[in-house]
Amino acid sequence: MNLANLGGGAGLALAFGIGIVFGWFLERGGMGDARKLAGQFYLTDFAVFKVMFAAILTAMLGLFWLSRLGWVDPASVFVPETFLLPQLAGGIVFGIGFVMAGLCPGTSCVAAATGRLDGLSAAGGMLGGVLLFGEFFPRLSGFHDSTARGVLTLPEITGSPIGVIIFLVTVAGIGGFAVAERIERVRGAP
Amino acid sequence: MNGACPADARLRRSLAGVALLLAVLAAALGPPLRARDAAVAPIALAERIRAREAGLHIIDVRGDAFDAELTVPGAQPAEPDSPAQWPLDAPSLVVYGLDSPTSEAAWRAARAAGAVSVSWLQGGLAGWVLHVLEPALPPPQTAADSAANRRVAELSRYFGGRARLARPGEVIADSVRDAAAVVRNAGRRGCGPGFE
Repeated sequence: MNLANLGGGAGLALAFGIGIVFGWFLERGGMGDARKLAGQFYLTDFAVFKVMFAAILTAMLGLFWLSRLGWVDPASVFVPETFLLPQLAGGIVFGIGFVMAGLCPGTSCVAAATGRLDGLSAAGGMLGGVLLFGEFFPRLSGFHDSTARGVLTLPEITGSPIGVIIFLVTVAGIGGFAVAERIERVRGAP
Repeated sequence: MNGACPADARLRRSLAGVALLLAVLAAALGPPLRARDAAVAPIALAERIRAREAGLHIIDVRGDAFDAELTVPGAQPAEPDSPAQWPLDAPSLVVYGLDSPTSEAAWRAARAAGAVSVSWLQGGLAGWVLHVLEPALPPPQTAADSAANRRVAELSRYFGGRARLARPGEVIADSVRDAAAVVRNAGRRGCGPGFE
């Protein structure tokens, strides 16, 4: 099935369904709790790191092996372009918002859906930011489109085969999990 | 997290082990080689033949349809159903059949039989006829187009072919619906102005 062939209504319905399932798993994983997420920054709870890196490893290995078996054409996977300075600025703004609210965009929606006031505040702030960005976009568009580097991938940047990159990222992820659990034990995570 | 029961810890260790195994296999086996990445264009192959590239082996796997009168120069006939007998260890092996599907199938058979450095001729023998022996050149718009046309026309003459200018509105296709007719009628068309 080619999802690109779905009509607008069917595509939105599918996205809504995927969003509900995604949000349910986030909530069940405790990702709707700002204290738990903020623990990442105080080195007491690495649940965010473990959830995100586990998702990265699953998607990376899954995509590689599905394409290796001929079930997925990797050329059909969209890879966003790199804009160095705008994305660096966006990352800083995102990080500040994350540590202040204890929630990121997805988890703020999860927290709001479960009736948490901090989640409602963070989601409201996010939507307000989106509106402000839209209003000021004509003034920001020059910066928004600056330092374009096109589509960059680790194999292209390093000149290493994709299999080697997959191996190194997996080792880094598993090593990161081990270090994170050790830190949690030392600092007495909940 | 720290209060996880031993079963949880075992599950996490097992998942990490599976991930590591898949990653090691990914590094060892490398990415899949897609058929389209292993295709060689007729013009590119013609240039390699003219340059007398060392180690280049070309095999024609049309089987009973093999016709020594019309073949890619230097190609050796090979039984289509016996890939183990093909020169699989050649430094650079190019396989072709009548058209793209048969050529691609031969490439897959060669890969499955153990060939490493193997590619397939785009369009097969029909592609060779259409792009090397009887190329229809697009009307040039720029000096670069003219130079490219001259290069193809000269290459075509080298192999005994004759380039012509495409007719107005003529679609220059990479593949044809009736490859057999293209090969059957090779050298008999002669229509359209020649390109000198």
